[in-house]
Amino acid sequence: MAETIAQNPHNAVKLFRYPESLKEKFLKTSDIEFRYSKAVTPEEIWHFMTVDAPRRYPYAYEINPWFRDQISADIGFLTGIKCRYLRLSLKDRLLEAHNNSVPIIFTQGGQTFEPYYAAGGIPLRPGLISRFSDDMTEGQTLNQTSRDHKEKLEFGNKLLTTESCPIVGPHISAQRGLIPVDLVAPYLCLRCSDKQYLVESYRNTQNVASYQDPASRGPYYKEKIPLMLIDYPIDNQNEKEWATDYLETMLRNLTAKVSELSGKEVDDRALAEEIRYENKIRKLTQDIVHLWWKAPVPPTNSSDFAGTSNTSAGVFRIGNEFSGDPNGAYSVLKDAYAEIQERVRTGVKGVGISDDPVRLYICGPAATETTDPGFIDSIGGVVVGKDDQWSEICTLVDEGGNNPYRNLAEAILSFPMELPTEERAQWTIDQIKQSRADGMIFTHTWGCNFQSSVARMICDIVRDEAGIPVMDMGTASGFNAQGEEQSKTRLGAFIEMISG
Amino acid sequence: MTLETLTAISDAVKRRPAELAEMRKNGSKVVGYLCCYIPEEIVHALGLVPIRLGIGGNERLVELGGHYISTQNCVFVRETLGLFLEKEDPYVKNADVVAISASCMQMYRASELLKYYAKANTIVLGVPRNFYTDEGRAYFRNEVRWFTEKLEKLAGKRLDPEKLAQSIALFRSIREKIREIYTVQAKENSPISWREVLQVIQAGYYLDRDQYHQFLDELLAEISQKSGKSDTTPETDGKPRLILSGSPIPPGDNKILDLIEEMGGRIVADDLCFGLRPYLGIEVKEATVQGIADAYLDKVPCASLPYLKELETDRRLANLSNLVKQFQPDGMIYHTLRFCDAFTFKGNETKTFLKIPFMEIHTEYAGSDIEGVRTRVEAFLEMIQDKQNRRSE
Repeated sequence: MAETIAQNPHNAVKLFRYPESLKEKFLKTSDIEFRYSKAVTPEEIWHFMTVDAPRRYPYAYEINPWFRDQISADIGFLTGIKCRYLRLSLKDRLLEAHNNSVPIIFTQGGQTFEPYYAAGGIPLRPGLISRFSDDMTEGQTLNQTSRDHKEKLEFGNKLLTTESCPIVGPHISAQRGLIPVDLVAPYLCLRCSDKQYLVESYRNTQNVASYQDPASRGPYYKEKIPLMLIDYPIDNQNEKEWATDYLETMLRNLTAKVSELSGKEVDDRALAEEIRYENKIRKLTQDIVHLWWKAPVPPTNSSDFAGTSNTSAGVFRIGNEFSGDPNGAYSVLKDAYAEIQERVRTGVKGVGISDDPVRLYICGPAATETTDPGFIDSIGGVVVGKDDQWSEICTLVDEGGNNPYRNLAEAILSFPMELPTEERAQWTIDQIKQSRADGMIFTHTWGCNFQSSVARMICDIVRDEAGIPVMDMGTASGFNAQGEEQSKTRLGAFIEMISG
Repeated sequence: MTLETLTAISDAVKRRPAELAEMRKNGSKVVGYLCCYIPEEIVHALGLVPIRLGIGGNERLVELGGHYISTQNCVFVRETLGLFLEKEDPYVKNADVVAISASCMQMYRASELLKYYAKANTIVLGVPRNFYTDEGRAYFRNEVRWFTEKLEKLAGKRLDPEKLAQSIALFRSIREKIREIYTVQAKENSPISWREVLQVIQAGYYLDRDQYHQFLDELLAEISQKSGKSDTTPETDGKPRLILSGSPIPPGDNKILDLIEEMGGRIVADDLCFGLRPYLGIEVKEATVQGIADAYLDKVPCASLPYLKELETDRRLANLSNLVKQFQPDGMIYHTLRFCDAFTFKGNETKTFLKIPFMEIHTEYAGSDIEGVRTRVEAFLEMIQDKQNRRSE
């Protein structure tokens, strides 16, 4: 199950390989249907995942002490292979779309994506922009890709501020033209306050000395990338008609802008249709999550369920992060439901999960994942949920009436993660109860002052009202393969404290 | 030589907490507010007492607030939380309600913590990030209307259009007088310094606004009298003239101001939110709630609000350019508090846009970096002086 990249024998990198014994079973699974590229058969996926990807993205297959959830230990969970295919095929699919004049749009995490897809664009949140950018250089080991990633982060830190959260890295990659980005148009959900200033910083790119140096620029460098902010009115926003009016207008402007770039006409019917499609994804994901939560033993491990923004799109996340293609995500989720349902029926436990794991519910934005779920499993825990993507997945958009923009605006303003903090905490308690979590961790990364500011408050409310142990855990900046000792020590102690 | 009116203002500020306590006993309601998008005219016209809250420079309060909020939040926000938790500040003690405008997102979070941990009675006024768009304007007009309704409940009466017009006139006049005094301080041998003007501005956060208006008249008269005594051309003091920009420097935060003065610099202009900026570019064209909303949205914006159009049309940057033109500073000190994203992210663009000698000081209230900051300020001033000397040779 392992091969070695020929390097200095002392630094040899061992790579994971899917065993051939899985192939026959895998080939019986269904195709992945995509919207922006042709469908792929299980045979093509198997070839990609066993031949192409290990050569092109060896970091994702590397077996080492800094394992970052690259490949799940549960190789019998076949949907897991497809989840990883979605991530590792991202670059090819995006470049193909770009060549077909599909606009690539830089957005924010945890938000809805109907306006972008309805108007013929591909929205990507920072983690996926980052992955796309990192994968532009192929053949890298984990150390090499980690170093490259750091270089992008440092470039942004020097240019703007060292106090930005790690999303400065992908924004700077877009500014430098390391990847094609046709529009920067995120929602300003309450999860992030840095986003607005990062978007604003694109205005000044022509005055940045380092951008004048061709060596700092990538092949997709543009002097001007169009910018938009979909503002998020705050404080009891879902009770104010005028807040909905405001957001509705911005959503209309957004669709018009994407439509202008894609050349695809978009009317209310097209948006309504997209809402129906994405609601279908939300409902299916909700079903998967509730199936998983109700199971007597966790039917998958944390990597396959919760995943990370790096190489593993766990099924939980795919319901909100489509890896650039909602149809592809839906295809994989259908498989996931069937496979998890079967596991629950037969009482199968995810590989790598201990017998009586400490169930952890995680709060905080996606950018804070500096500890891989595989590690949590290995020390006796299991991740049962994350409020970031779950907040959006839980919020179905009304499909009735004749104003889909209004429906969408109302749904967005009701995201539980974005509600006033006391209400968010109550929703969190409810999810903790449903998921039977034994503990809650609120993570926030370096520079995330908007989430970190309420971490203590949410922890206090959950501890007092749900009666479970909580931990407010600040982490280092972003993807840092070898800098997680402190986080791991804290996690270990927290899990030991609960299980002991 | 201290102007007599300055002493009178200072004495009035000292008496103010006792006055407020007495007024509240007699039924007056005090609206403490944070951030300068709260329309004071409406508070005043309803017969409520507007008091601008927030102090800086107190490490103990920062520490106290820091127990409940992350250390990745700026010290001003942490200290504000500490201030409310301690409940010893006379203005905090006397505030019946705390109004917070959500221009700074961290300040919005602070409002949630003030409500939860300090049990403060809060009202949040939403401020649109897309403040320069039609939809942003429509949103803010509705927010100000909603805010007014909340205050009407507190005041127990509806807003009287006549009283509103009077309040608008009063605040317009206050702003005009502040700008007039401000212009004088930048002149050579001015009878009043920038630091004194800052104290005058900040006294206005607490005093009865009619009394304050009267003080400003008296101050202008005294300045005029003192300035008129000399008929010779004033000589330059030779000190490097500086414009100060960046994060809030609230009452009590003297760290950077003291250092600049100690090192021989002279501040002649600022665009600070606890300084001149709230008095610039604000004109209520229509004596209505909507007119006030428009005026507040159209004033020189806070850096916390992102502007996505060209740098050349950015009113924050245009204001800085105007200040540079008007007050002829030799350089800019751009002061940023750690984790004050709004200003920190914009340091580089401000520098490249203004093209004047520029130094960013990134600091906190703690004294641990004071010698490092001192060295940098000293070096910056030396560099400016050296440039001036070479030019004069």
